[in-house]
Amino acid sequence: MKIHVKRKFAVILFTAIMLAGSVYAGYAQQKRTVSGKVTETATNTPLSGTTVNVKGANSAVTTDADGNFSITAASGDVLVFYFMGYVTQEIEISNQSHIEVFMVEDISELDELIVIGYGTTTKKEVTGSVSSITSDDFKSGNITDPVQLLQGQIAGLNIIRPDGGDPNGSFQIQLRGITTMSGGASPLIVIDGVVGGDLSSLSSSEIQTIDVLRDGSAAAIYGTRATNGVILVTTKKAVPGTSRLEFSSYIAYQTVDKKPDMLTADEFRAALARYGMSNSADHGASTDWFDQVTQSPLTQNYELSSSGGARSLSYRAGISWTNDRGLVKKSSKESLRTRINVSQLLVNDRLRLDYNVTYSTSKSVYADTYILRQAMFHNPTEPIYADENTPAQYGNYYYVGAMEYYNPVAMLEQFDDSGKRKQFTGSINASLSIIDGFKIHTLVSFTETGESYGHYYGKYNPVYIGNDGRAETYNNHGKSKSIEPYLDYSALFNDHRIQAIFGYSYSEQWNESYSAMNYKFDSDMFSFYNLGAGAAIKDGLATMSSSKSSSKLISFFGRVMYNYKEKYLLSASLRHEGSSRFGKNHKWGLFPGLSIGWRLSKEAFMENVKWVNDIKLRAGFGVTGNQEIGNYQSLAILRKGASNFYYNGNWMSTYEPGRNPNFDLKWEKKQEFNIGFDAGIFDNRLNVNFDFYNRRTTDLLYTYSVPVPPNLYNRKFANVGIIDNKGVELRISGIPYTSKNFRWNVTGTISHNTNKLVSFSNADYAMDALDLGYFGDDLKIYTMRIEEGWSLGNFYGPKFLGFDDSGGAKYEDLDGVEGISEADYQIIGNAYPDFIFSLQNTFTYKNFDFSFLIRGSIGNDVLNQTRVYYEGPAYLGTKNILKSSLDSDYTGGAYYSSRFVEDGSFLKLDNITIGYNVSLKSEYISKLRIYITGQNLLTVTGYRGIDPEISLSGLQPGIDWYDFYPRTKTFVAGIKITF
Amino acid sequence: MKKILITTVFILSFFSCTNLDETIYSSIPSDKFFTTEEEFLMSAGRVYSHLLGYTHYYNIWGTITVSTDEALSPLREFNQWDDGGVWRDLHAHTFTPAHDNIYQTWDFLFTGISLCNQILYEFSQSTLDFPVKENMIAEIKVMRAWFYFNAMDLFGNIPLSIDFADVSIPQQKTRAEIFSFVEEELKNNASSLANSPSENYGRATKPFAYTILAKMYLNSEKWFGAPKWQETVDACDSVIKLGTLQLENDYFTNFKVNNQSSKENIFAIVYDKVYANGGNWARRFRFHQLTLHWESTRTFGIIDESWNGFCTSKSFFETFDLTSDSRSNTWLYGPQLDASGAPLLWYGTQVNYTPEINSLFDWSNPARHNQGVRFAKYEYENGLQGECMSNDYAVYRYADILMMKGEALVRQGNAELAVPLFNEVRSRTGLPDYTAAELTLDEIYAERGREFAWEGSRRQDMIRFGKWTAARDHKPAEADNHTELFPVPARAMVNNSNLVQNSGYTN
Repeated sequence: MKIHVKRKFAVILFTAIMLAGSVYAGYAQQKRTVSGKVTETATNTPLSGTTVNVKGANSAVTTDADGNFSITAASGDVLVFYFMGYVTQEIEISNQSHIEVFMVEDISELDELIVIGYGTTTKKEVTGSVSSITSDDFKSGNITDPVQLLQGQIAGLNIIRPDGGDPNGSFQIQLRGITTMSGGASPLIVIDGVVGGDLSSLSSSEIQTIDVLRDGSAAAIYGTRATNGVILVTTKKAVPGTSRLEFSSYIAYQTVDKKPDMLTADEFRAALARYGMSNSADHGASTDWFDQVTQSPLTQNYELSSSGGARSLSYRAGISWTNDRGLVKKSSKESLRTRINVSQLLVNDRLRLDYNVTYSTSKSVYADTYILRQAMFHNPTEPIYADENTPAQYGNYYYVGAMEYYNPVAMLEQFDDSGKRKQFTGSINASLSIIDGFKIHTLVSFTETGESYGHYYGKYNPVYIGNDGRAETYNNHGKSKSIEPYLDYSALFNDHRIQAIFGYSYSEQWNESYSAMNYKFDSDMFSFYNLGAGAAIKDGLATMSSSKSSSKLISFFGRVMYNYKEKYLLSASLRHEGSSRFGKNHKWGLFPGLSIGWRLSKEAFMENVKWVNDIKLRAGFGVTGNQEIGNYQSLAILRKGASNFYYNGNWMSTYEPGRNPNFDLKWEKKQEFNIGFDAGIFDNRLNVNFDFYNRRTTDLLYTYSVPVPPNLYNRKFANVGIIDNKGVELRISGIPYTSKNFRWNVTGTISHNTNKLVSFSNADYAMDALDLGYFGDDLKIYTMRIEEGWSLGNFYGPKFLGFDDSGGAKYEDLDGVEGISEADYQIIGNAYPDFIFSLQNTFTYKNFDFSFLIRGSIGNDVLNQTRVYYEGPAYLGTKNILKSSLDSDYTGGAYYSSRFVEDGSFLKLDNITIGYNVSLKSEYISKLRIYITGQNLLTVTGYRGIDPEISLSGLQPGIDWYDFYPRTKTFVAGIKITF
Repeated sequence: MKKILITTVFILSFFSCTNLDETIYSSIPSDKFFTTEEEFLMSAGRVYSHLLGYTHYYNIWGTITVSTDEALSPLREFNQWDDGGVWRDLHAHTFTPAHDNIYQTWDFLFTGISLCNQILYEFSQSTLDFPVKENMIAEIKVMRAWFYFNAMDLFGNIPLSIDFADVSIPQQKTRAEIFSFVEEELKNNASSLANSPSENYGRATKPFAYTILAKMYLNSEKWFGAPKWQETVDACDSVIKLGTLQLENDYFTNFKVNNQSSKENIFAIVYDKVYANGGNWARRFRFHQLTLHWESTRTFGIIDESWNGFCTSKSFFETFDLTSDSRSNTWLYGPQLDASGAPLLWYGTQVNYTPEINSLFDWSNPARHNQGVRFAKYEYENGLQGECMSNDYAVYRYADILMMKGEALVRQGNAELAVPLFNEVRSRTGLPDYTAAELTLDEIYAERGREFAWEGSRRQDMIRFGKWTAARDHKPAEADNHTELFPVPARAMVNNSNLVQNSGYTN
């Protein structure tokens, strides 16, 4: 299905264009009235709003709600039937007075609509680097967040779920490398024109298309928020004149894919003997702590949606409920998502109103990854529950005193960790056709978010023994309002087509939060629902805090798109935007975007090259910004000090400056140059998209170390550095084979990105090197470093050369001075992949379909923190160690070196689905589909940890931290019925 | 209809259309403060809440204590307390400009200086007058002098900046120039301060200012080759003559949970688990966590988790007479008991603190979990929770005034006059009185060690008595004496290109 919603716009728009652009040709002929009916072939439903005109004449009519039309024409005239997204039909009139026209969807990808922000264009006309996927391409499975739909679909867009199968885990999205040192790194989400939406509040089945503005020229229309790319989501709208009900459901089952390979109890006992250690560390039991804190969960999902109505008033409503249970015991997320869309046409179809209301709630029980780390290194010979020697204060749980060493089962059972979240978004979009070609749009939106979290540590929670129960709550209430009026002009003058917009945007956000903590409860029964009952508040030891903040963003924007004969294409945009967050000297900025295209295939010399259907060269340049820095960063403010001072027998408050103010604070600025081409060859059975980009971010924000005095504090937030990213992206999609019953589609993407930190010092701010990737526990070392001229993501440390005969580790000695010191450190790996790629195959045979998606990464290094600490006998005794410790005679302590920086290249079978569309003769059920899906079933990698696909965002990518969520395999069975 | 819509759009688009001022809700714009006496006091009080960072193990206390023989944190079995080598580098004097504690120390002192400058600036900008204003200004100047005194002691030549309005990068001054500045500031402002610490508890007072002067004069010979023994005696006498201080009969009264009534403490950093707990990780008074074995919390009924780290060296411990000197209760040693008197068990065996320590840093033979005797001079509060002790940390005590005066007299050749001063301090310990003949410099050094263990005095003493670079447990003798000054931290060098590194260090 194409985007039905756009039809109504299109009708009005193109009627106007036709009228304006037609050339009067008045040769005399016998005129008569021809009537007929236009039907949509696939659904056999009337297609209202189709433009019908006599070729060469300046009159046109549109079909009514039943698809009927009548027009004055003469024999020999050619009637042109036009509907956006359908193949335009030309029918010559002979003697008939009634004709039946069947409109067929335009199979060419090139005519697909592309959403580009404040308007649409078509794939053939777009000049920026824009990718889209439609609901047809959506993979099935346990899709917890619509972001997952994009994973492996778009070249250059790297989506990682760092918490594996955690139902409450989030996704990290990175487009074309890292462009910031401390600002936000996620793309801007725009849902139905509402900027800054939250994708997780939307069920994936409510989404019609997702468009991604990848390059600077396309994204520049969104100004200071667009540096990390823009993801435009268009939701499904009503289909007028039909009445439809859809029901779908799935269940999903998860199992552990891989868990840390620690010693079993018997191996632990043998290892104590091997290393000559006292067997006092053997507590006599055999416990698999990992199994004790995990489960094999079942997830359920149900969705229902209705749509229908008349042409002038139509609606769509959907509701979905998911209970996603996690692998870690107790963890879950239950979500309810509802959405209603109402569309109305008024004033002779000149005014269109679209109401969108979404409301979503979720209730989560979180998995504490710290419990998983404790379970990983916990001594497997300890029993779970207390014996006669356990001091009474530890309750029923076995206890061994050691620093930061806790019974994982006690941690899990004695801990409530839950949260609730609700989000309401309401928007109204009004568009009015004033005169031909001119339209005024106004989008008003309102979003409100409420979050509340609570923790309760029971009396015997080993982390808080002696607290007698500890309750914490955190509440947050966010609100945002925006209004965006803009004017839209569209015209066709002979072969010149112009589309232009000009608008204004005002948005304001508020945030209020409140938190409190109390302990010493008489009973665990209250959990965190009776905060005042704790006695610590009487002792002055409970805590309470609240805060409120707000920010504003104001802009003026405009864009002109022009093409000549759909051959020479140009788009130019400009946004003048100001953010309250920046310093008083730099509130406003200018963000231009310019792109051009040349459709070679439209040139005369290409006419004989029959195997090329379409080829377009593109080039673009754009400037975007990043304003995700938090509020009030530039101001001189005073805050209440955490401690009082003793003044004449009383405790007096203290007030201190909040930070070193920086009145020059401004947005990070990214300039990007992009060239590429799109080609459709062999009857459009093979489509190729290629892009090369070069992006430079300047005025990078970072917290700099500054001299004290004259500064008040040793850190100052300032715009200094420069990062470069460049890369190539290739997407190839094709239909290698097609026949009456069988069709094979294949799509592959591959991308490559390199980055370089050009500088992070200037005349005012200096930095030698930036040490990152800090390992705190016991080691207190940095594992990564950035220096000017280096790539980001470098691991930095001693290079491991192997073991000597006595099991001692040998390292490369660079400075010739005996012993390994910082002078011997070198670059020992890089976290970023050389290539990321994906391959999607879809086979359909009669009613069966089968698809699989492979994703992979080549050349990314991963630092395995678990091995750094636990591959070796240093912790054996109080803690468990990795089995791989026994592979060498190493007896030294935990020490960071290249030994633990591993090649993390991988290939994953991300999704495999078999589906069957049941042929039904029923008059009540129009479609019935059943399917089974496997997610993350297979990973091919040489990496020795749990999963080499780990977080690549931020400045310390590629570290596989020992606080982990286990990776899971998921099996899904689902059904979808359309009534 | 059309017109209405167009009009609406245009009204909306120009309504507050370009105002980007920020609305502040939960903090105070700086230009809306400093309007009342109370607001000035609340700003000035930051000097004292800043001091809460002093005792932190990653701050100045950790730096000047672990670098002496009175404290160390060896690498322990089960891979604990490696901490990237910061503790062994301090203890074995192998620190470099990159050392984190040394940077934190520098930052603590110069942030203190900068906030004093800013408080003084705000006073100077206001015409508001109130009775304690002059007194408060003098207090802030004396506190600033104390920060400079510490920075000069630790780093030698340091940048000097005293005007908040001057935003240029400060120039480095010689140790002698800083000495003169501090001396003058103290002399000029002492008269405006309170006579007694009990009057202005936890704040700068006359005795505090004179104590700093005494310490400067006492070390003048070592620092500049210019002895100022008589000035030391005079400065101590200025404190003694005030008559506002006296020794406590029980040494440990000065270190109790409720030690604010101590008549002996000249200057204390006032901690309180409710009102003055530092507010964050880096500003809490947490000796209990630093030193006690994981299980020892059950001896004292402490609820916080303890970390089994800091202990004292065997040779330092052995300077205490365990049978006669009541000050030996500074240490926890031997088999340990829980609160009920039963043996304190870990893995089924009784925790037994031993003076021997296998090594400072040796993965093949690390210190055992129970090695090294532990610190218990400050009373551990039953039920302690929240990672901050409520005991006030005694920075300077009256005993130090008596012993500094005694030392200066001995160095002047007046041992006879020094005898009653030392014996006044010693009389409460249970040890026999000194005779003049016994008061050798080595004995004074040892006695200061016993009296002021873990009180931040040892580094100055070791340097002044020529012991700093000598061989001791876990540290060989040093080839030269460059470590008597700490290096200027590498981060400070990057931030201020005017700075020249101390000799013996490479960046």
